[in-house]
Amino acid sequence: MLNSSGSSSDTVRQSLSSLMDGRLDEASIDSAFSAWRSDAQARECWHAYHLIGDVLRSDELAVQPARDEAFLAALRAKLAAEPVPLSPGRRQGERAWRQRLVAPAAVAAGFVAVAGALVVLRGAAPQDGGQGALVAGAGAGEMVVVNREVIRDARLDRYLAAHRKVSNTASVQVPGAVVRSVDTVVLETK
Amino acid sequence: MNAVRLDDRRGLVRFGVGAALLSCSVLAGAQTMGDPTGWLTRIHQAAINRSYQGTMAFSAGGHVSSSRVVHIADGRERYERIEVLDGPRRQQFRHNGSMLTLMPETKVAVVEQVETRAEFPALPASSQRAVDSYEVRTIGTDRVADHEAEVLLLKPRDSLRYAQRLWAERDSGLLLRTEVLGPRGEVLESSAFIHLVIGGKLAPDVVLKPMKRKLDGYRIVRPQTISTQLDAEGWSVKTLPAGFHLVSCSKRPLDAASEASTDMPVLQSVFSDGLTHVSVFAERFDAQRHKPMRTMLGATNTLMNRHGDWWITIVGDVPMATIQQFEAMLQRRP
Repeated sequence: MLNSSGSSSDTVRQSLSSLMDGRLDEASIDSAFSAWRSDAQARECWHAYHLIGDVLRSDELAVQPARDEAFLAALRAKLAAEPVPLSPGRRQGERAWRQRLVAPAAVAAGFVAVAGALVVLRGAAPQDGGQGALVAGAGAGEMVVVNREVIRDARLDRYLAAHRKVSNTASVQVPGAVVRSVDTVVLETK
Repeated sequence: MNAVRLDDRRGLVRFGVGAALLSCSVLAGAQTMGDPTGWLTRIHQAAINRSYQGTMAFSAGGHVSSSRVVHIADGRERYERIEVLDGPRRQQFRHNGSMLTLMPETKVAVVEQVETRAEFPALPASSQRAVDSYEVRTIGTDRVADHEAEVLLLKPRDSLRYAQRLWAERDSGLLLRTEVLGPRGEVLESSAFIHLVIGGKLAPDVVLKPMKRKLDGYRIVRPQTISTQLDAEGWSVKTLPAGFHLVSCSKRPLDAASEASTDMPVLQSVFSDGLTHVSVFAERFDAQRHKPMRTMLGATNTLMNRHGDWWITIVGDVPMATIQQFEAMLQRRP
């Protein structure tokens, strides 16, 4: 008994983590959502995972947890005043992901903040071409990231910034393109 | 064929001088409105020798960000201010080779000396090199941010690089818009001025004042960049991918802005084909931090991989296959 309850909460944590990574299949999404709704501990865990993710991606994001709190509180208040969107009947693939996430929005403000991020990060299909080839060629354990997926290497942005700095000497460059916030959006660059 | 579009006034001159002008490379940098290669030189020089201010938007991989740019050319002095308008605030001020970057959210100020662009290039070396790898054509005229523009297409001569479409302001040559195109002509990333004023009298104070201001409450970071040679660092390169050559090699800490400045400097070698750049980073492998990864962001591809005791990161605005060629050519001396 003890064992089973312990492993069940592990399962919840595991599925929350997978959900965060966008790796949860549809069947498990529902149970993850309901765990999140009913279990305060699961919500705490969810929040902690995101904090960990944020710190991994950028120390800047972890500077003021209070701001995050305030944002969530404001969002909750706003959402309480929002009409509840209806869940679409059919869902398929990645598109369904987004729609699925809209439904519990009013219920779970915390989820919404993240769902928003997922929509942005996993949004439209990447440029055809690059991705297929990249994924196919990926070795075991290698992470392949194309455009809007979440990146969990805090250092990548620094290499990008260092690269941009030298590209500044390029013969052809729209002035100002060197300093971009696109990396900031995707990778949480400094 | 409308590929060579002659400005009325200069068209007359061109008519008279004819073939002599086209074959005379000494004049290439001077006035070559119809000569596509000359355009590259003009674009390069305009970015440095003109004063302008405007707002530009950059988009890649479905994201858009914008920056405000002020550039002042006053005699031999160059002043520049770039402000990122989206996300965390970031301001960059530059007076010739001195650069100050402010990050108000984290209260970090980075003070550094940067390599100035060849401000008065005697010979447009990079433009000429680019012509070896790209076919340059003028493909028409257009209007960008209310400025008349000449549109150029730079078509790669092989599959090692991406094509680019450039919009250059007709009179000054200032670059108004660029697009990097994938193998099927799809736009991988683009940047463009959405508002731009060229010329006019701009006061250097907009750059100098913030640079002289006391940085109260800021943590000031001064990263040191040391010039070095690949050879001296124990690395060698076999045959480079066609058209690329080594531009610079230096050691620098990457985490300059972070609290922990215990970071070991990373070796960065930069290669260019005259138009696009590839950076190759090398540092000691650290199992804690280093995980193999490949990313694609707009036109920028990145590869991270372990090579024995070393961790190699290659970042470039070129296809992944080209990045892999760079990886393969890099050799550690035993």
